[in-house]
Amino acid sequence: MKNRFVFSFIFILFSLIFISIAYAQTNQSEPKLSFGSIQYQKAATATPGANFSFDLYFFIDQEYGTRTAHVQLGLNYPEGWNVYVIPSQKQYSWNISGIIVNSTENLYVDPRPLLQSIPEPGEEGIYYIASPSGRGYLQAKKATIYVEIPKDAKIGESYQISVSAKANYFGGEGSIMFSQSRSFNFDVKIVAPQYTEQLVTEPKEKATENTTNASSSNVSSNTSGITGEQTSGNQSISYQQNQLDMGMYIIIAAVIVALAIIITKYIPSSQKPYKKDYEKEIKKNQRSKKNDKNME
Amino acid sequence: MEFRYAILMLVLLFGMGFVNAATTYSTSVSFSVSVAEFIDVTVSPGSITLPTINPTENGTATTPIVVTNTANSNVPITISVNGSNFVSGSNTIAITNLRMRANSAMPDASAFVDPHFISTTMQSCSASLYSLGQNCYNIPVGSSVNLWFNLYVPGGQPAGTYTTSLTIKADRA
Repeated sequence: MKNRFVFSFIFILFSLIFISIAYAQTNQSEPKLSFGSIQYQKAATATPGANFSFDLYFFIDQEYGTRTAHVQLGLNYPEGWNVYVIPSQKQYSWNISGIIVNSTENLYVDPRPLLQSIPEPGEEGIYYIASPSGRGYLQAKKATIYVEIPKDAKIGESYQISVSAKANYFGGEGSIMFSQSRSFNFDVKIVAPQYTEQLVTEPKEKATENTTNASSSNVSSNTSGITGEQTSGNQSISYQQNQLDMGMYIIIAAVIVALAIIITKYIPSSQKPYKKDYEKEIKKNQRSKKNDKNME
Repeated sequence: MEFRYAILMLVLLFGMGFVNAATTYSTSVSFSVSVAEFIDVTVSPGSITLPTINPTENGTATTPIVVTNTANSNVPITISVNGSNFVSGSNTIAITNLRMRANSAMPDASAFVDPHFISTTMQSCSASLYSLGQNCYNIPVGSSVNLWFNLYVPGGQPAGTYTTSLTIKADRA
């Protein structure tokens, strides 16, 4: 009876060990390639010549991914702009099951567990971001895209910056191997440095008074046709307005300089009038004293 | 201090203010506020093996690739796929001979017809492309799709072990 119990116990123990080994091997043979990304900003308005940056975060939740993702970032941006990403691309050497593999990548993301709270102090280079699942905090790595807009960027125009991220994984064996990619688009609208608002056209009162049905149909057709034209019209008008403003400022500056010259040339020195008045007073006093003496 | 110089200084300061207003070039950036976009996709397993296929015949992989839009995402996704040609030494098989369908179970070979081929350029899933019993577009958060692959080997193709790599792209649907 005792022997049977011991035998059963050993059998169950070995069975459990075998199942756990089999489970572990199954898990090893079927890697899960996960790639998580977070994009906070998708659009911005900026003035010509402005510099700004936006961040992208990458993570692998250990529950969904078992392999490290080697991330390569690519940029596509308008001509004349200066756009670059930090961290920049570097060549890394990896030891993959005893084989040295070289990889060009911006950053690598390793599988990490979700955390129930943000650790203090946090790990350097790791950002703790709450998962939308509400299960905890993702441990993410950051890539920052720096943008320098040229000073001649057209006001009113919209430009697009595209960032492509490709996650490569090592250790794939088979006919078809997989990688993941993602693209992030960022729209930049160029606006004037100063807000201006000006009426473009005066309302044509006479035309609306004299005509009835015909005018109303004209107006409606105009308004429908204007949308596209008005936008471009406003752009050119605001540009002309800027030029006019600059001209006005230069004229005002020239007038001020001219005034300054006139003031220095034609306004007499402040000391002289007082001196003259003082001398006159003395002379007057001297005269009056002389007169008094004569009278005596 | 002389009175005229005081006036002159005032005028010049006034003028400098105007010139400064005309020449100061302020730059600014403003961001629009929006909820962050989380996309987390898992591809499992990381590779698949096609059966041995004779020239002029086709074969389907016995296991699918499972693509999951995980709970860490907050948007539905659409899958796009592209790939490079199969290579074995100096021999190649054009990637357009590889076809893909989204289905819960292995589809019949007759399902792997044009236009459901893989290309070197990214092609997005739609109702009329790649989707069969399952949609590989507009995949909700927490859902999975099985992707099945079938390769046609052209006539006269030299024997060899051919490999390729596919890229699966996930975009907000």
